[in-house]
Amino acid sequence: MKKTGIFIIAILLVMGVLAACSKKSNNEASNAPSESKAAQSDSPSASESPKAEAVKLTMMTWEGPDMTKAIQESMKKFEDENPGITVEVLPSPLKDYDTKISQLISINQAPDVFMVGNNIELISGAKGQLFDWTSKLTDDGEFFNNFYPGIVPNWQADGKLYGIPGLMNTYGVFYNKKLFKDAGVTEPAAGWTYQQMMDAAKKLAKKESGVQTFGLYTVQMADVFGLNNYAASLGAPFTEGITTTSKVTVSDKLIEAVNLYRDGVANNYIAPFNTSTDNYPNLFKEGKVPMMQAGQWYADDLIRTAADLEWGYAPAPIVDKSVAVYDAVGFASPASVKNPEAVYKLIKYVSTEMYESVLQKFPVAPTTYKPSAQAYFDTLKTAGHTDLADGLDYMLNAEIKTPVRFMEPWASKAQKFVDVTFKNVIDGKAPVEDLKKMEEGINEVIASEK
Amino acid sequence: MNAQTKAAIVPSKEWQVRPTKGILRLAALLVLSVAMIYPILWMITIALSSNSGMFKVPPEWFPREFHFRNFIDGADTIHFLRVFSNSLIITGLITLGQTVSSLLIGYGISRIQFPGRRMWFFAFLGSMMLPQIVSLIPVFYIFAKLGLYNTWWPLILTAYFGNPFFIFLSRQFLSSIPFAFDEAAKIEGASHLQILTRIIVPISMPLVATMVILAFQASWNEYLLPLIYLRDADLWPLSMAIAAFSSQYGNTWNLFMAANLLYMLPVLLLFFFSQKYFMQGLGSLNSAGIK
Repeated sequence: MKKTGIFIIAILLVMGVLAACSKKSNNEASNAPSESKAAQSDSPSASESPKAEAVKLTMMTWEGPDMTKAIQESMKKFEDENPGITVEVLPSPLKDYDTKISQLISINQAPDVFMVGNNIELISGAKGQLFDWTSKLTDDGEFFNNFYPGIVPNWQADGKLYGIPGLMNTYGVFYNKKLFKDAGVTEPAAGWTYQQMMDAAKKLAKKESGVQTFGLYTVQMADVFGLNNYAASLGAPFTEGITTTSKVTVSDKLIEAVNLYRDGVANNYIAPFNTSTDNYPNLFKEGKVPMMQAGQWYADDLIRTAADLEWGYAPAPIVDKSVAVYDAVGFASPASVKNPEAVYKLIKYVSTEMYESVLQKFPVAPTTYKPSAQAYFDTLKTAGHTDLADGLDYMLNAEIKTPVRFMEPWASKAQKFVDVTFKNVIDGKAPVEDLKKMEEGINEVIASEK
Repeated sequence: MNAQTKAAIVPSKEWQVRPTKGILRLAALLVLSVAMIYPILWMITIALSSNSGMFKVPPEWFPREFHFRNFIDGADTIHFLRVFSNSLIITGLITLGQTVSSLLIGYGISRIQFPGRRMWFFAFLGSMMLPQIVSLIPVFYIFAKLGLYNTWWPLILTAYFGNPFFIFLSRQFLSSIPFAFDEAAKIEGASHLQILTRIIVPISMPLVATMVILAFQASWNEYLLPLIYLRDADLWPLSMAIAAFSSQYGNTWNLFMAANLLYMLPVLLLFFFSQKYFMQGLGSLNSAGIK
């Protein structure tokens, strides 16, 4: 028995040492191109050199296994179009992804291209950690002119571009056609107003056998940035801009929006926030939700798994001018990147052509580059959801874009006021006047950080 | 019917004397058992469902569909055999390292008289208060400079420098063993290593089992360190592969739960087969104060 134990331990040790050593060898092998990249840094880039040297680029993505596979497949086309450049796709879990990237940047081991959210791109870019692509705005002007309005400027920090946006999330309204028909309510369409949404919610809400069905299930309206759309539509936004904010303003229009939500909750036509919000999409799939304001990505699941459900989609309501939340993800590179031209080719490819092929299999979000978004819209239309394609296009073209969260380094400090004061007001535990306290608190944070 | 079986079916004395108390205790245990078992049952239900049949409202408590294929598909998606082997090797080496090194340190502190041993003990104890995130960047930097980024070494090597909690546990447990054993062995000419391996360890099996279970469970579930240190997916342990299942745009929950059940299995089995020792080992924390 004792001998067996010692034997097992010895085997484990040998296996571990061998395995770890072999991985080290692999690592050395995978680092080899980096050394060759370093060697190339003094010479013209691979694409410019008449005798192109082999360049191996790495790209990190946070997508799930299936989508990563589709991304890897799409890279073959890039490699065919760019002889001499090979791409290794490195998947990474989404959880703690930002921690991982910042650690890799700190030891100069970040991949050549990596997925990044708008806020991290702005903050890391301003710290000088990301490669500055600003010159491309003029050198490749035609490309940048074809993005949806407001997309590229909001990826710039102090006029500098530290990445290229790829996908944009939007938050429109999914609705159940049958429930609308049964309640005799007209289906919504682009340009509908908040008042029309509230009127529809009132008619769709019902209580049967003691079970309350609300007319509208929304997470966005329980969030200050979601309600900001109402105020911004009337020219009184909560924040001045998306990338920079010198102060926040709780305007009468924002208070009006808060009251709209509170009235809806008090009169049982809007689902209160404490109801399990994670379950809204499942309730919708079950045909029990008349209207659900949510991200467009749920459409992919509905198309694949809820064929019997008759559903429609309308853009988020407005009051006056068209407004959409700006929630973009894209790609960036570390400041120390060795082959900028080859990397730029890759970054441009992934935000355009790669998504054109990947989104046909996984129609989760529109691209921010207008010509490439068409492939995604065509997929939705083929699946019978022209309304969704048109609704998303409408929101991407919205003249006003609002932030989905604070984007500056002080964001977490300011967010505490939102999490406490705003949530209490929304839940009806505090009067709307308390929103002014939130405004003061956030403005003090901003002033102290500037 | 033998005496043991007979004893098992005869109600206990307490049950006979105070039936109400017995019923209340039984009810409380039943409620707690359901609370503990239900999440696993729900995982099994989801793991056996079709992707479109999940999250029904009201939810289904027991499986009605049996898509056993989900276990194969879930395992395929995360390259189960590869990541499971990686996890076994990493966890095995970490468990071995933490147990042996902590036992050695605990033995030294509790049974060898040397100047400053209390200071060393409190230094180890104090390091328990240091959050992992504080040391993450400097340690990461050191391993990167040593050229060990994207290898398993940073995960394994630190285990061989002792685990503060295990050192505390060892010191407490070993302090409760009479010194007469050591003295008798020394008279026979035994060295410290012989005393430790031939006398102390055999009578400290509950302590060893406790450390093995805790070390195994912690390193099996460790996520942040592999995430930071391992770049290539073929080096990932199970914890990372499971986390990579979900993306920003949702999850295939049935496959995810099937893979998760496979992921949980080794820790559950280990605990199941060594729970007796484990409880004894933890009990040692109560039986000896800081001396």
